[in-house]
Amino acid sequence: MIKYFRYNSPWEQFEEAVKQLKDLLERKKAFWLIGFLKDIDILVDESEGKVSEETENIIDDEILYLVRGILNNKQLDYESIKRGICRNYENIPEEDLEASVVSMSNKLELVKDTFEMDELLRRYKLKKNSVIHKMSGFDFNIITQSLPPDREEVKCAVINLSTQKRIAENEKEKDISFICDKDDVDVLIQLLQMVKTGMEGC
Amino acid sequence: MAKVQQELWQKSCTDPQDLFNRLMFMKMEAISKDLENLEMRTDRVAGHDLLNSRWKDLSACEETKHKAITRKADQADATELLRECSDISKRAIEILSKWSEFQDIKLQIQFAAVIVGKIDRLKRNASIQSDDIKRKICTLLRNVIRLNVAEDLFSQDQIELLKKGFMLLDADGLKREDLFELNRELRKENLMTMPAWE
Repeated sequence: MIKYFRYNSPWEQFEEAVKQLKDLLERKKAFWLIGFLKDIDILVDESEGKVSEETENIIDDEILYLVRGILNNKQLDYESIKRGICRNYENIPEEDLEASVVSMSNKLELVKDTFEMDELLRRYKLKKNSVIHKMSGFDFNIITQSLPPDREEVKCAVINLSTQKRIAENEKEKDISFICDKDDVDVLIQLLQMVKTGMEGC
Repeated sequence: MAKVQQELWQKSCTDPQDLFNRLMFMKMEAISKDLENLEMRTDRVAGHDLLNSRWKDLSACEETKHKAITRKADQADATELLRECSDISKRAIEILSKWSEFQDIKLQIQFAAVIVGKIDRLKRNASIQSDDIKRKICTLLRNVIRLNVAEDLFSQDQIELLKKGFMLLDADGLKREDLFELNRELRKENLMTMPAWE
């Protein structure tokens, strides 16, 4: 085993992490963020409880890196992986090198076959090629306002959205903040539902 | 436009360099806006149109949505599906070749999981789903790998048979006999093709 090599996790744990992530994605408890909020990332809904630290590390340190490599069109065939490892680590015994290359290569294949890479690639290209702004930030604060005449306290939200033109680049974002109450949020949800229905062909 | 010209005229009287910078900036902004407009020109549904019109009954849209999805599935490009199927089978054969280079049970388990992943992907492909024989070949290969992977190291001949299975998945005009023959050959090579209780 090569010390500090990113793809060192035991195969069984990696396979289990892939399986868990697939299940979360299918149940809409996890979402791919592709050129929306992040360049390439995963958002996990933790309402059901957190995934184990082991799984979380594998998702963040291995699966995401493999997906980023695939979407960024990196050469990830057997020979390129071997060259990459030799460039970054010195004096590796041939046996360890071979095992690490095979392991990374197999992990890559498993990720490619488990997650819909063509779909992710389409989403990435859409965002990368478009000159229209992409959402790069979403934040909110819940605030309490005292309103006249009887100074009744009402909760509302200040939502902040940011956008930027290009993904995968550090550039100045455009920001907008707006205040809204619970009813406004219902309207927003309904409007977004209409957008979704429109995209689905209705 | 008139306002812009007026602004430019006022500026030009003071600082030519500043005028040039402002001109360039305005030009860039205009080009950028043009590009955005160009990209948004197709099938545009303006948000304010949506708001001005009466709210659509979303449940009424469900039927139309369902029809659209069915139509899309019908129109799915068969050639593209076959090409994908062929690519996956070829890649599986390449991985099987790599598998045969190693005599290590730990690596065998990895390769087996990768091959099962390929089979699962093939089973999701509509061209396989619509072909009874190819679907059964997928099930047969999956069973063989799952049932035998932890038993012993696969021999060269056994891996060759798995390759043959993937070649069949990439072939046209398969007959039921091809499936039976593959099954016979796998069993002849001492590979379990179904659980013992079956």
